[in-house]
Amino acid sequence: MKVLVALKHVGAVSGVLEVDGDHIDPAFLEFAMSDADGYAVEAALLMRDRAEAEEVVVVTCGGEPATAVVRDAMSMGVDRGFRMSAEDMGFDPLAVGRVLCEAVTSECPDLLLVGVQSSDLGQQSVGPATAALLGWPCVVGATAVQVDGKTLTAHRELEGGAQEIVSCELPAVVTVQTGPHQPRYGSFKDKMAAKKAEIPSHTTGVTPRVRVVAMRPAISTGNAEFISGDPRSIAEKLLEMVRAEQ
Amino acid sequence: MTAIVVIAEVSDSDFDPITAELVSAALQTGAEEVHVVAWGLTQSQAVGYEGVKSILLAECAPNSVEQIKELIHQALMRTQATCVVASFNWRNTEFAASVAAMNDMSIVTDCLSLETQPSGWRVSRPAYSGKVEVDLHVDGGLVALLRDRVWPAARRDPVPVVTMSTLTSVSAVSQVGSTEAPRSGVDLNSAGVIFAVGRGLGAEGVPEFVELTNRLGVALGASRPVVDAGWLPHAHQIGQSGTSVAPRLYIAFGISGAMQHLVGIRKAQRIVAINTDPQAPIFSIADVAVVAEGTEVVKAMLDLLPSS
Repeated sequence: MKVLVALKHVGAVSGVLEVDGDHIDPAFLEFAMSDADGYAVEAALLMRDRAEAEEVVVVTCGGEPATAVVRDAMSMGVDRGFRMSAEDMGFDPLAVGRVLCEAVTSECPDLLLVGVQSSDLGQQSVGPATAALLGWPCVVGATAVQVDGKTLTAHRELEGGAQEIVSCELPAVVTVQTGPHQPRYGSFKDKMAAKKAEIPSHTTGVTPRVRVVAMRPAISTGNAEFISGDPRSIAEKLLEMVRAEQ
Repeated sequence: MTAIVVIAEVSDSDFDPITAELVSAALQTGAEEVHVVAWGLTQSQAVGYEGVKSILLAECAPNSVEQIKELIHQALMRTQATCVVASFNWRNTEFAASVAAMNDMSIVTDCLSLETQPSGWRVSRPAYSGKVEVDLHVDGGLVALLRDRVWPAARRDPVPVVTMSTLTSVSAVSQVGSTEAPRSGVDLNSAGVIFAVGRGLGAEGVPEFVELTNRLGVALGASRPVVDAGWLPHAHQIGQSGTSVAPRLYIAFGISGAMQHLVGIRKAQRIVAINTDPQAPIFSIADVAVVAEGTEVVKAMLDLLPSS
């Protein structure tokens, strides 16, 4: 069985930020693999460890800098990775879904794993969108995935701490939730290989239908009343608030 | 003509109050027609809203995501709507993107504004973990999942009810087992005061934090990363994939405020947040903001409380 894992290269704002019209100066952003995607890679590697999967391949969608997340996954131990070269479509999950369909057509995986949501936007949409476009079943929010022959079984979280176990036939799409199986650190050998690897890229004809027209810093302080002071005086104020409610 | 279908939220044999917000958001877009799609109500329970053209009521409640998708598709065909509006919650994210894919529409979740445009829609939503707000132009049709508590409530008013048949489509994913939420003695739902701990306190800060909640007799909550890291059991998790809470007082220590956490605490009467980052998104919904190191505040509170 072959697993394809889709990865998003996400930017996080560090410290003070400046917005310039419709984008943020990349100098204010720190890029990394989206949190949940690391858990998706881990889920795929666990399947390979258990001999349920023979090959784990990763794909990302974006410009040249996005190859960094392919290397990150290779240093965790995936077999190989590639990039679908595309203009910025981070705000259009359906467009990303169409690109992933192209990747699926060329790779023919039995299972597509994606993070349940990206850490920058949290739209929770790429997985279900891609599944619908492919006509594959979709399991949302899995914390554990197993495959036996052509049957997939997944544990998924429901609201309030309940869980359900679901099953479906392959091929399928599963969106992976962060959970107890923390992404691994790869071996020294994998890290060196990831550094040197050629990351192939393929062009895509997909154009996004959702575009950014303006961007501004969110009013992060809202209506909050700020209190300051040394830890002891803050502690006293908080205890007062708690006692008023008890 | 532009038409919108609103997917109702239903609770206690009536429209949930969130439905009134979704309806008023749809009415404010400038669309000519707004229809409401609902299930799980009888015809007499489905009292509509002022300005709504019709309620499309499923004759029986769908029991799978496939049936929900089919119902929405039916409603779109019937009304010629080019926009679907629903609440941004865990259930709806399971079908919203596939509804968009099936009907050649785009999807935007966590919307803070929505209006019609000559060739599509204009929406705004947060980006970069809530630190930025973006305006987006969407070409063509749109499935928009809206954040709650942004729009005012629409007024109730009876409107015509049309029934839709629920098809017996088969789900490709079947449930083979389930586990109840573990009985843990943690009752976050009815707690009056909740202290919640985030990643910012670090693993080493958690035991002292637990001690503090014990001495004060307040409920202990946690953000998702704290639970994922195994620092506290899942029963303590607050947020979209955990428990939604409504205490009188909620104090968050070292929680930056990922959207998935914030949706779980919006019903708290008073929110106090302690974080070292003055731009932490949690401050956007806090009533009281404290820029400080959470572990030091916890230590200072313990010093002020006698151990028993």
